[in-house]
Amino acid sequence: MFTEERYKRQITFEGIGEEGQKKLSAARVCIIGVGALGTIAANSLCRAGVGFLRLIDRDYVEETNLQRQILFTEQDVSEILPKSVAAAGHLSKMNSSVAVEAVVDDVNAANIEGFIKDTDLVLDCTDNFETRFLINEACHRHKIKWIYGGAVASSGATMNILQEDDTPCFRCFMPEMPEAGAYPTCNTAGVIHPITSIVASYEAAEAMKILLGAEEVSRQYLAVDVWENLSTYIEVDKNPDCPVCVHGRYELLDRPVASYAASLCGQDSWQIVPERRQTADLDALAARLERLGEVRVTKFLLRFNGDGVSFKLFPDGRAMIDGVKDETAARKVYTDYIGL
Amino acid sequence: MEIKFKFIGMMKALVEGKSELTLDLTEHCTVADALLTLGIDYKTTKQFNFAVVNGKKEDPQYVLQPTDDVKIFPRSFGG
Repeated sequence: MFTEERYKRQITFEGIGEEGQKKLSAARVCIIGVGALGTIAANSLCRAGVGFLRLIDRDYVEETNLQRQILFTEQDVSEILPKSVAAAGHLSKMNSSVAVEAVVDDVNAANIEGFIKDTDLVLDCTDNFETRFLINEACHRHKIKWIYGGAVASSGATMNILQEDDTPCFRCFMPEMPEAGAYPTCNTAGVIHPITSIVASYEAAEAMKILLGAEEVSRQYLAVDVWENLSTYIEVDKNPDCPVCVHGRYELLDRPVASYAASLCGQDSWQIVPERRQTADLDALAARLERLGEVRVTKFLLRFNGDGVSFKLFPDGRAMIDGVKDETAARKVYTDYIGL
Repeated sequence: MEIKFKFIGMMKALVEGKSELTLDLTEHCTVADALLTLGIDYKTTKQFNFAVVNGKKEDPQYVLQPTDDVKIFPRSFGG
């Protein structure tokens, strides 16, 4: 029904042309994080006709997302859809010639290489530094280019990690990983849509340039603050003693993955991931929980509210526990109510 | 020597909302030393990301020169 006519305007652009469009159509991109940055970047790349998009996110759509996460609707909130599933659905309606794969999972050392190694480029659209450090190591091991992006309040930044001998990796730029909770988040400092839109749009533009092999690819760190009228490119040197891109040490990637818990982006929510992924019988659990509170089961998750407890459980045993201050409290809810 | 510091985004909250300050510093003063005169210890200040001097990211131990242009950037975290 639809033809290549849809790309006519960008084919006319001399930076792309017919050959460039063919390259984009053959390209495979992995987008990690489908929030504000991820939805905007995915929207751009899907409309541009990038042939394959893998969208990965551990979360589901909430009302507070609608202010800036452009692929989501009120209906997605009502249906408690996982973000990657909701986004993939909307993108497929927008451009059916793009293969969009939705992955509902938490990216960790055990699974990240499987997610990225059949792709040409990775876009960081995450909300935490641990995943960024992991992306940095996995992409360096597999020599896959990736693009860092981050935003909070009215400021944001992006930088290409090009896996070249003379350009820095993310660890060169940020030698130590900030501890979770040791930095402002979108929950604590807020965030406005224009900054996420700008950062993600730069990520998408750089993605197109990288996929096309354009010589104009940026080799600097771009910092933007839309409230302070700031936009500046910054030189970043390679660290000659970088453990990742110089010495090839992958401290996070090679760490054994056991059961783990993670605080979610400044919220009073914790994610619990069991050591062994297992198929949770959501209907059976719902039947047990019904006498304790409100239970809703969808194709993708179980949501429970009651007895002073609130959580979402995914079919692979991963859970998000709301309203808890620490890992101990989250694990207690997991044990007491889910018990996998 | 007088050196102008520009504080970007959330870094302004650490200097009473001012976006620019001119500091009168001694010779051989580092970026870290200069920030300490404002009560900012970069190692423990969660908003601090890095310092840019004359358009280039520099270590906080960079020794300032009289004509330097310094910008202090916050972390860009969320997604």
